[in-house]
Amino acid sequence: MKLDERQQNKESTTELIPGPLSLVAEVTHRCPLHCVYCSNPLQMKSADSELSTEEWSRVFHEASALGVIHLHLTGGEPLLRPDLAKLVAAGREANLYVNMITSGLGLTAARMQELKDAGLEHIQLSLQDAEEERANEFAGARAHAHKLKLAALIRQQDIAFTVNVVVHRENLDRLEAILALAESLEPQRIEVAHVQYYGWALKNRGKLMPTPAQVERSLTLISQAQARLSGRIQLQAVFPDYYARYPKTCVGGWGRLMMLIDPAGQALPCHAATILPGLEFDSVRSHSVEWLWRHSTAFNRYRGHGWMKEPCSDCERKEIDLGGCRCQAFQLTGDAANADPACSLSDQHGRLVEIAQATPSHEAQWVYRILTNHS
Amino acid sequence: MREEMLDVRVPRLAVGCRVRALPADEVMLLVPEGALRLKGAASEILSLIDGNRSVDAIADILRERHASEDADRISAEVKQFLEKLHARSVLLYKD
Repeated sequence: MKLDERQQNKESTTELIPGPLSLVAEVTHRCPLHCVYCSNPLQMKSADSELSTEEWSRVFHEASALGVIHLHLTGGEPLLRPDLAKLVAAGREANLYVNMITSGLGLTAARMQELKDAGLEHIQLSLQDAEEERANEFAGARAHAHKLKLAALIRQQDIAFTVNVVVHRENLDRLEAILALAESLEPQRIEVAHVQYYGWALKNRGKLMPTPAQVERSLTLISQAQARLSGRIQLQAVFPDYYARYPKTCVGGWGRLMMLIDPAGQALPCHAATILPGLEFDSVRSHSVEWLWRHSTAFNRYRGHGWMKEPCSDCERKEIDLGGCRCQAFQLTGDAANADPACSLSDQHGRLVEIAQATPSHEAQWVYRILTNHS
Repeated sequence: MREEMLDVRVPRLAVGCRVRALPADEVMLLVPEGALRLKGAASEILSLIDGNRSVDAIADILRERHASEDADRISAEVKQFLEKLHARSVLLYKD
């Protein structure tokens, strides 16, 4: 896609902003798990503020018209919405590819059938570890055994199946066993993601941050597994950016490829954007998806590279990684317009390396994800 | 004369992959976590995957349809394209 070319014309007219390709629909923040690295914001949306079936359906149709291809139904736990099958059907009716990201809790044979009949095309099931006790510890719930039983149920249904695993200091030493367990569930895809430090994960960073040796070893194990599984299971990996030389192109670029709608209808450019000061987020309750994408100040704030400072503004890589992650820049440097400190060209990079290499604390207590009704 | 070995493997799209029509001779292959926009030859090859035709059968049809073009090149293109999809796990070969 030639998104960049069109992006450069942003100053002259907003009409040329290409539409997003994926819509992340956080249909609820309620969740039976309390994962210590959850990507949801610390301030979550309460059940009574959630969008209705009809509101979501309208959002899906408008998103599709704007160019969205993939719909990711997530949360929280999407299965906690009794109308989930209706949401799936609405997504398909809007001609979207419908994916669900789930803990699996609440998934029964009957529910599975209902979702399949509604047109669900892809399920992403999370695993926390290969060892039950540790898996339940990270999830803050007794979930592991149930998850393992679901694989057969999913495979029977002719639905694409991905196993998602988040890896960190406390489970990386079992990565071989984790990969073997994931493989034994016979999915089409496995995603292994190193923790990204936002929200709840940032609170638990001291305990989650892997050692350099663990990171090194995980890279080797993952590339070996990719070679072994090739043609059978697609293994995708997300590497830890604290150890990177250049930052990740966060969410494919701000306001460039994806839009996230939170349970109450706020449109966000990424999972963590609500932490950024001075941004106003508009809602699908008062605006169309197209308006939000093209005109909301939050989406325009860090589009393209007009907002960049040095070293990003003069960097030859500015079109490649677009300055990295705004939220990480804010969290670690206090200014969201700074270079992402994951970049070795950032003058704050030294601090990041220090954090990454400081002795992590095994003894610290986990801070579990808990839904508070503050907003 | 056919110079390659016979290829009787039958390709089919993996679970969770489907074709979405686009205007003109383009199609979009929707896959979990991605989409491939396919034009011209690629779109034509994909349209011939029906779960029954072998790799050779698909190549034969295309060689007939495009009789004025280099037949060996067409066969090679078909295999190359299918292998690319196979490596991404979006296309499987039935045993």
